Amino acid sequence: MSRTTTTGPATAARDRATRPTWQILALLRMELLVLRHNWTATGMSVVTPLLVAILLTSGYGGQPVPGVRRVATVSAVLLTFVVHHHLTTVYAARRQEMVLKRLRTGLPADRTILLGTASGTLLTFLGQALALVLYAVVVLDLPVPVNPLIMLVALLLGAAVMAAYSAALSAVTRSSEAAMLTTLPSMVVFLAAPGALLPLDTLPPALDRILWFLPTGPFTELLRVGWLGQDDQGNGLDLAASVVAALPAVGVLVGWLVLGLLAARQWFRWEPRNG
Amino acid sequence: MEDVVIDVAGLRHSYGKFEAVRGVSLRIHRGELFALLGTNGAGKTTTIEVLEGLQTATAGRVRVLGLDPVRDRTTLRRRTGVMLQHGGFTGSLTVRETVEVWRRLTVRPRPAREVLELVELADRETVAVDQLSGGEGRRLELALAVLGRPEVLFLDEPTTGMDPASRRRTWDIVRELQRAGTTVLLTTHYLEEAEVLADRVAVLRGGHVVATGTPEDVVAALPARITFRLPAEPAPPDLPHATRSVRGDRVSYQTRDLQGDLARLLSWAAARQIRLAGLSARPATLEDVFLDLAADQQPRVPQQERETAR
Repeated sequence: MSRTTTTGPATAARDRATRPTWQILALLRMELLVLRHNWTATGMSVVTPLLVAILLTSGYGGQPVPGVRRVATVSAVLLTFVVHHHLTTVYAARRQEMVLKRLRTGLPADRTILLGTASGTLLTFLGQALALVLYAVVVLDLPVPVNPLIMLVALLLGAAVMAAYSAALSAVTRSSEAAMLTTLPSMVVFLAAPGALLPLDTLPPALDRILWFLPTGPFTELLRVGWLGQDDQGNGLDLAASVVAALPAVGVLVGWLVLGLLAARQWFRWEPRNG
Repeated sequence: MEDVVIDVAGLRHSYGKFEAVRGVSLRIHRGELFALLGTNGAGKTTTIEVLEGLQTATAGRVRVLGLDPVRDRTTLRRRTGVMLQHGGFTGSLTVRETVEVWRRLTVRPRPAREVLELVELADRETVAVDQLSGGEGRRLELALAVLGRPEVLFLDEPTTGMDPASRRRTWDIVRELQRAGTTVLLTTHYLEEAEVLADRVAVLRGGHVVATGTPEDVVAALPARITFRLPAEPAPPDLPHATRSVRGDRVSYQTRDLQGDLARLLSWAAARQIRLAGLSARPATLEDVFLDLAADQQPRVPQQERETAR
């Protein structure tokens, strides 16, 4: 890949700038600088959601199953608001500022630019989820997660699904204000799953089974299974059984991700119209 | 070997049904400073964006440094610098932060201090990008475009929105880069800029190249002008190498033989003891080229004239 005749630190620097991980870190740095300069954005996307999440879970101290279910629900809300809604505004803003177009004139590949631009938001969400779990375990005295890896898979896959649809929807979003409108339908749809905005175990079974396929259905199920080490009927699951129980949910999320990536590929725009 | 850095043959590009570029061919050599001249909508930006790899050609062949700007993007990008027509900054970042982020995305970048001094923004380091004036913003764009010491530099209307001092500074920078061996392709609708900077120009109109050559060649291809105020009488004479037009009280000749026709006109006037008020005679300027070639009402006539003139 490198065929230069330069030596020493120059070569290292040269190669570094062409590496996607390094490029993503550079873009992450840009997003974090934006947050540091813009306290409104920081409050809206970082502080407020976490405070609301803590508020919505604080009544569940010492109740393992309802508590974990509640934290999973609140995580689904964080997922859609912080990742899906906020990231839509970020993509739209960077497009309108021509930052995305400017980035395309440089070294990073298209997917690196998309991932790098999302990195600040994704990191924010993972940080919030971690803080919420810590709060639940330490303050609310909920059990320590049995299979944190399954929970991590849920958080990463869920965030990836939301990010893909953010990229697709940013195409019809002209500004942060417009994002309120363009992401409202998708947020409602994404959240209308049992275990997210709808209750578990009380919907008619047929409806419950259909709505479970919406992204936050498998997302919240993975969180519950991973955290409690048991299914929603209360049957204990060992590691192998947990993984098997998680597979359908993972499969559905991957399906949503593939559709989202196709939609993003189809509709994503790098520059404003009539620019 | 002929060192062609930018090679475009039969380039076409359509946005949906609208064809913005309709068969443009250009060959730009190493170290050359080439200007694409044209009005808005002439196809300048589309052409340069295809070369930058931001747009895909609908038809035709495009090579930059022998590479395909879209297919060989990753290889080519470390050798080119791009200044877009409209900025690309996140407004809340400072000048310094913006340059630092871009340095991380550049192979062997120049020191931040160096580029900021180059574009005379060193004293604005801590200012947020959205507080910069239009000209300062353009200069920051230029700083980012030259951060990686590119072999080929694309500048899309680099001095639009600049005050005269900024514009002159930008010209100096571009000339310095060219002297160091950089090949530069710029678009502009300032004729002065093309005349002062460019080794060669191509005039675009309606997606076609309507004239190409050195600024002097392109000017020489157009007729010179003689004008004066219409005398009460007699009627002004016919001159052998000129066409005459009368607009209001101005008589104006477009001539291919300025000296000969002017001598005939003056002897005609002297013989009749007529004073030609407001007499002026001048060669064509790039401005004339531009107005003539850009005028939609006389399509392709200038090119025919140019050919017969040679």
